[in-house]
Amino acid sequence: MNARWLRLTALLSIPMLWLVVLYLGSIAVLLVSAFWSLDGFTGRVVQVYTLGNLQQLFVDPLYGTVALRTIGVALAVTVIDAVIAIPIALFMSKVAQPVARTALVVAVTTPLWASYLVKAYAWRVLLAPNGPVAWMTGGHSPGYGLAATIITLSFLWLPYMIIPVFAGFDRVPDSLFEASFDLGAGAWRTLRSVVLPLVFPAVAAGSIFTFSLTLGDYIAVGIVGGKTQLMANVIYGQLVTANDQPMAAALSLIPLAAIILYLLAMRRTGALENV
Amino acid sequence: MTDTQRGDSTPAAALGTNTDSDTPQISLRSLRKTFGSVVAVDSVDLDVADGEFFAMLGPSGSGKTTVLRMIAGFETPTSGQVILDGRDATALPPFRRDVNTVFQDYALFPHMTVQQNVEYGLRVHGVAAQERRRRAGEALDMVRLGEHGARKPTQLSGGQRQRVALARALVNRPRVLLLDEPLGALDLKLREQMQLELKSIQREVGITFVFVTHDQDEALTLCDRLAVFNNGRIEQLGGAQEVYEHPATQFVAGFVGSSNVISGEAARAVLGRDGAFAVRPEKIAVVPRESAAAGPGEVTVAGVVQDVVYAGSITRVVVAGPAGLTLSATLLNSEPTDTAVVRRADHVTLRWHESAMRSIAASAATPAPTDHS
Repeated sequence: MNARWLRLTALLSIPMLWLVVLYLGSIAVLLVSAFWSLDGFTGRVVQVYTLGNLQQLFVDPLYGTVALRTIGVALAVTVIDAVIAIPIALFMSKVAQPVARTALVVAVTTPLWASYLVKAYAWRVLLAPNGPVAWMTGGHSPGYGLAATIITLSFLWLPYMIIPVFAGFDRVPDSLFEASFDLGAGAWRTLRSVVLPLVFPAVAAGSIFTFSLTLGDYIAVGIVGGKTQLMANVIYGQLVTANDQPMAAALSLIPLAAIILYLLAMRRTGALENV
Repeated sequence: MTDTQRGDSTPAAALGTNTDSDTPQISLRSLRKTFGSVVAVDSVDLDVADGEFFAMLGPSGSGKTTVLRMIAGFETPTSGQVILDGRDATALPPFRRDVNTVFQDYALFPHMTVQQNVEYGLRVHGVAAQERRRRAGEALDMVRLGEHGARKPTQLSGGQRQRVALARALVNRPRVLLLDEPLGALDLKLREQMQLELKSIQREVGITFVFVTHDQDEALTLCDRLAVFNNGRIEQLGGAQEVYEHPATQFVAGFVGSSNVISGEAARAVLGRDGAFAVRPEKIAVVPRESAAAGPGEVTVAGVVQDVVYAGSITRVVVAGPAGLTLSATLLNSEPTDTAVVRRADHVTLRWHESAMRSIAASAATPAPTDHS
């Protein structure tokens, strides 16, 4: 081993240790413990191989319902964020003058400095049964529940969608839009045939954030979700309230599988090739 | 500036002009464009005839590209009119103009194949799929890329992308094709080849080509007529030969080819008159001092050779004359010899005919470079 190898090893050992031991290691422990069980009498984990927890996932209809609801919420948040982010990012990248563009970048990223809890509580106040939204809409506030959860999560993760889409638009030369107009296409046609296909990879990259962050959220839904249960609440409940670590591990396989399937689906579209 | 009459009378322009229509394909009237406090284009009047190969030549920042973009519809004039085929198009968006553009960076859609790129304009206009495929195939054949339809633009070389951009614009059969520095990104050999190809394609399709370039060789090679831009204005408008042989201003004399400008004290010392005069280096003969005798209508200047630059087909000789005058002469290396005709520090006489010398006006704007090539 020469000096160059030594330096490289020294440089990479700590990050590799972090990645392999702490991150992949903990996921491996999680996977293994999903096949253990809990001694209901003593409350201790019994390290004996069993498929009981996995069976429970399919037998208990609650888990299936919550899983579908969670994936539905994650998809809804992703679509809402994409629909809001595309025009904002297009404006920031191609229309705004330098000063307005900087102001918008600041406006989009500033909420990331504020605490997550503050933003979630702000929405709790806004959406309260007699809060500002109810007052402005004449009592048509969605109140606390599924809709409030989707609104709050869409707001929380919006910057994670806008920033990659903005970067995506910045990579598309203006001349491509001009070429489309020049060849006879109007604004809508250009949007559909040129703009959207070209920023799709950026939207896909952003959607990985919005989708996976929503799958893992259990705080916002606790604050504005009323009685709504999402997957992460159920896992949290099993782990902390029921103290059933193996069942929590089995349940967490659902969002893990969902995000793996989502990444595979994104890869099939070819969106991840040039990220 | 209304030099249109003069320009139209040149033989090249007459050949390219469609006789069944006297309406110019493009008319620009007092066109002006400002960006903030910067005047990019100022009072440009221009008529381009049907079927003409027209060049807009000028240094960067001279306003030529802005004029092209106003013809295409990408920029709205601050004032003035853009008239296309007799109709006022000043306020029309680009997709309502019968004009197509070949962009400097080609602007091929990276997510489409070559075939889809070429078909795009036809698809937008609702041409049926079969007809679309046939016409796109023809257009690709014309630019010798018939076999490459299934490729993506990233799989093509620069020259091939350039030809796809050309096919994509021409397939729509526009009345006018605009080309923005079309050959700027290509290397020299490819550029020369594409120049010939562009010229033959223009003859084949017979529509008006307007192209923007900063390369005076390219402009002279390709165009029937050209407009020389400087500081947002047209300095001179005319046929290629006319602009080269009769530069109207000091700027044109310096920018289109290179010129020796003799003015002020030097003009009085050498020519015995006041004014500014331009003479092309290739019009000047370098003769040994002893055999120098001015014939009728000839100008002679005695000087010392400062520099001799051998450049293959030609040799450039720089001679210091009286009153601080420096003249450069170009000699064609036509003799089968290995020895230099002139050497540094030789005492020589420069000789040219009065008729090769042009009286020029000083440019309205900043002093032009006197030697640009």
